[in-house]
Amino acid sequence: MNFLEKRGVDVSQLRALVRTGLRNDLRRSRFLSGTGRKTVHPTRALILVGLFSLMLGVGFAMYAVGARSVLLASIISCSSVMFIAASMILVEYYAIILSPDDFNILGHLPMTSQTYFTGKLSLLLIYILGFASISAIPAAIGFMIRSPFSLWRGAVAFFCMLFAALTAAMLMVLFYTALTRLLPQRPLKYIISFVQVIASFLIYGGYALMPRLVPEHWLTLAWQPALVHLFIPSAWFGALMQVLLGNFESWNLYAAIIGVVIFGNAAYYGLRHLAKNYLMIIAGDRQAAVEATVEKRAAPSIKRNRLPLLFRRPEERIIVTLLSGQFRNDTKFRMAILTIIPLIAMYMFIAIQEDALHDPFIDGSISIADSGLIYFALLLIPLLVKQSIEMSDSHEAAWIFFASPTSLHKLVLAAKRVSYFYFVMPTVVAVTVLFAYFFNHVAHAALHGLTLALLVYFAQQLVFMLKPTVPFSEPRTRGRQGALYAMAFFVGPGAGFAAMILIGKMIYPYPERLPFFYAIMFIFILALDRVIAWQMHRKFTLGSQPKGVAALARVSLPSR
Amino acid sequence: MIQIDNLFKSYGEKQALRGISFTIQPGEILGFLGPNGAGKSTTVKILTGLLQPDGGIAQVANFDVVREPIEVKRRIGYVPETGAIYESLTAYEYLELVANLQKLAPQIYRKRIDEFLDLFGLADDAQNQIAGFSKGMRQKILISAALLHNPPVLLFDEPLNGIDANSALVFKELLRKLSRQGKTILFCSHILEVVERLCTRLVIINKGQLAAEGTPQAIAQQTGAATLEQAFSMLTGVRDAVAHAEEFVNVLKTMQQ
Repeated sequence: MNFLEKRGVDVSQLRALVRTGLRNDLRRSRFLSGTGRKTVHPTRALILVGLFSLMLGVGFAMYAVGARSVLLASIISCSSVMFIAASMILVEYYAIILSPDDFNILGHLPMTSQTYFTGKLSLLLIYILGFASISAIPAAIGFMIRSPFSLWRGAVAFFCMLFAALTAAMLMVLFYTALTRLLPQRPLKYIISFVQVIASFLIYGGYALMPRLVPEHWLTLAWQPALVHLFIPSAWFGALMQVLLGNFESWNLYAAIIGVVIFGNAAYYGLRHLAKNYLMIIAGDRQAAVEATVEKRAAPSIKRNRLPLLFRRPEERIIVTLLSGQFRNDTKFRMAILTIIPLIAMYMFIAIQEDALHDPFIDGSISIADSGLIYFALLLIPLLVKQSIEMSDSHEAAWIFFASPTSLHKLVLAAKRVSYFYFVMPTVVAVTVLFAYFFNHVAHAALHGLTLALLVYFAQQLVFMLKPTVPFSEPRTRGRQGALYAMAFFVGPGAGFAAMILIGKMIYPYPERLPFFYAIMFIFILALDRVIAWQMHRKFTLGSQPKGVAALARVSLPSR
Repeated sequence: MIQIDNLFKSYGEKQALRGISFTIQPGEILGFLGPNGAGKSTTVKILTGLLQPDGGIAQVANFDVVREPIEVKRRIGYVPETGAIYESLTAYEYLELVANLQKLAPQIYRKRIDEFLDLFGLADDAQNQIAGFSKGMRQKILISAALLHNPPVLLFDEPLNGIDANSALVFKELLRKLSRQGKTILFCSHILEVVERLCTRLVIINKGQLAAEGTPQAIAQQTGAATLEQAFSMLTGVRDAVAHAEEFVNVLKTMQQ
């Protein structure tokens, strides 16, 4: 009897579960979208995440080669893979570990809770270790080829980085799963949303702040660890690497022991305690969902959503109802939207810390360049929001849009307007309020806010023009959200940022140009709105969309 | 054998089951009836281990569903009402997954999968993804999955959903044969004609409580109704169907005005 079987895990069942999980994730799946049934390629999203991991790894490989202190280089490399692991769990955890979808299919089959939990955990670790390896291989090569060349050093570095990623993943899984045990089931999904936001702050914040905390000229620094560094998780695995390379200094030993002990405890506690109760947790989650539905059904009167007066068209009312309903009830959607807050907040925090928030009407483009990350993040919001409102676990319910006389292009345009009003606008307003405080000039802050609002709206127009999709009509695929964040950190709307620099240089210093600038922006945006409406009208109404009974047959029935 | 004794289950403040009790003997096909929200699916989910009861005893093949859930799950075949299935898998892969989780030997399950797919006319679709299947085809896969390990107890929650008439005929005949072999079968359906013809005994529940139990004829006699449909309507407190339909039509007329 092996280690797993002793802990109640059936290895043959585990193998079947993992094989099925991978097949489910990596296969193309067909879904309804704006142009009828389409095929989604989940591998593309995974390739993007892989590229992101590879770029991180290559960056840290250069540090590994050049840094004077091997310990510091290894701590930073371990931080990068721990960041990959933690952020993947942050965006995928609910879908993989806590989702009750599998339980609906497999719950009646003779599996122990431990087998079920280990199956889910294995699937998660396969992805995490896969992406961590992509990042760790170049870094390990860097450690190997630094002078003097040592194959053993490279192998140890690779092992320690994977160990670090595994520990980060295990700790986060334990943290979330323990929460599900400790907290009452009913408000759990709301609490998890807020925990998610706090965790996002820690992970993205740590990632954004780390380069700023590292001392200048650290490449040539003979760094000595202090007692306080024992509290940094990546330091444990950097130290483990030192120990495995034969450096038995007391700090290295203490830090390495802490790492190994924490990993051992996490694995033991996870498999021994949480795994045993996992099925109950999932069943409890289902029951909480049923209870919520039953109570809503038993409510004496129908609660009507208060629709803002701004949205009077039928399509806009549909979208308002859909968005508010999804935000209230779909944890995955809520988490995807709420995770935007830390992204903006961290960049604002960094800009404030670095005293980079200056009035661009006085300092011109220099101020904009200094606080560039804020504009970068703001211009990303349309992309993040658009992606979030495309996907849903209930994507098949989108047949209703195709089978009713609703105009699809108006629906997509309504999604653009409503999502801007609900999610983008409040962020721009919040940033403008902060600008007003730091610029010490309300009118300048308001004008700058207006410029931002128009630019972000323009970005949103482009995003919708490039991929018009009926809201909540596409399935969630593994890695898609992660790929989005990879794009958020690497690709981003550089053109929008460049436009901001130009505005700071060519418009802001000349007050007489401002009215013309805003007038042109308004006309441009209105014209683009028309173009999008025409383009979508062509795509959804005049294009390949089947009509009448044929449309119904294709949409509501599978294509066989 | 299935034995349910004084079973209770609540969702928050709403009581879904209020002490229902009944037994199903081997070789019996029990029709389990009730209006929407009566507690049928809750009972079936408790029997399959998907939900935990708040009180009472539920036993399947002499194993307690709370204390020995794995033993129970080994002995049941279940077709869920929701039709939940992995759409990315092919028909063969899905049945292979179920066979592996039921711990069947490959030499046994390969032959059985082929036979079931053939029986339901799905042999040509064995290697196609379920995502492209019609509702009836999916249902056939779920029925095959429930029967694959030849369990002594079968729980069918609306198994005929979306199935064409010919396959339904095959399925009903299959159920009769299985009951003759001594299988215990619980059959939930809203199609009263099918239940009346297929089931040896009926249990009707309403608002989580037992409303009637016996053969279709006995239940009709008890209520003084001419048909099972009328008896069901009387027992479950549904308002006069004609008056109810009239109300709907009136609502539509008001909308037209």
